[in-house]
Amino acid sequence: MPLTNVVNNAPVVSGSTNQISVIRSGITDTVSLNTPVTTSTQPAFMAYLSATESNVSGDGTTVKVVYDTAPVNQGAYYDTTTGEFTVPVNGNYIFTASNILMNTVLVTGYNAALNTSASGVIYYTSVYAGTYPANSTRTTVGSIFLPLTAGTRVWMTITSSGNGSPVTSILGSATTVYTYFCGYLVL
Amino acid sequence: MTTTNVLNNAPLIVGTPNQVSVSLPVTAPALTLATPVTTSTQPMFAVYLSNTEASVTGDGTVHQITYDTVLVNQGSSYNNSNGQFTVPVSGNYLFTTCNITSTSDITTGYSSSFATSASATIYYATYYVGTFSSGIFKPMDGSIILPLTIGTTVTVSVTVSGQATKVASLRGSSSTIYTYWCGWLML
Repeated sequence: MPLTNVVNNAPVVSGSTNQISVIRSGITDTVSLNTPVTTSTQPAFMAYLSATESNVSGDGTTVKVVYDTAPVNQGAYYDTTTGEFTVPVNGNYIFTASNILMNTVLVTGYNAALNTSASGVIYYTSVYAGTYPANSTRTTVGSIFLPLTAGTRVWMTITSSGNGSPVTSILGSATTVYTYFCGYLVL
Repeated sequence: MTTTNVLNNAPLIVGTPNQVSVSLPVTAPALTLATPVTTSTQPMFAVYLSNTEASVTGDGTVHQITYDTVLVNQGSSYNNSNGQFTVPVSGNYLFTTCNITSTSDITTGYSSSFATSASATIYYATYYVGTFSSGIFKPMDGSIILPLTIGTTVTVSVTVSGQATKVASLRGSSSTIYTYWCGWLML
């Protein structure tokens, strides 16, 4: 195995046919390409809504979804009280979200979007326009890769429109996972 | 072989025939890889349905899908005879699925979901309630990160409801990939 010298705390990577050498911070990590690899430190989260948020949109209101329960939250960069993921390390992240929306009265549009504090750009995961009758339920689902810099905050919003009052709810449950948000720093 | 290389405040690299361990005595923000990395052993699968499964639901039956054809099955943890993925290493897994259904009559709900042997919790990828015309192909897609322990089995199911008989089929083809499931152990 070739070893690359290390000087002045600079990042160093060397590789050979079956191995890679990588710099890890703080503690010793082991990387082997001959067995499955996991890390306990790679930023990753999965959070879901444990109770329905009733009548939060339907009148065009854009609502931030606060996924309050997080079975996965490596590094604790997702905040279950604000619904925001704060990017800990520059890199490319994959996000995936599914938000189940219910309307008790007819609506004419709904969407789900990923937002970042880095810019005003909205990244839609789903956009629907049409006629959606009373008492229907639908899924806004999508995934995206984004290049992000440390400190950027990321969150999801939903919007439902077409009615004069908030008739759209976001479906949540403690025992069944309907509405969730996941993110991961891609190697 | 064990090689160490220690400079002031520099990473410590220890190599053995199958692994490289690196530690850094001070906090550094990130793991950085300078070359593309692939592994042949990371648990990973991509499987699809090679033939249409006719009349499997529509009456509320929860139909577990047996994706019969394997594109990728590193570690052989997916079983294409029963549709089960058995977790080979504890960790966080990313799953994505898309299941295309068609119906021969009006239906009132359709969904697809992940289930595990670890608990009774259902993780919905897609969840729709309403009135849906016959004949329309409906994609039931979604992605999720799940924390899983070794030995747990994971399956994907679809449910279509609204009729007394099984009016819904799952679309499959050997030459076109409609209905598939992918998963991998996140690095």
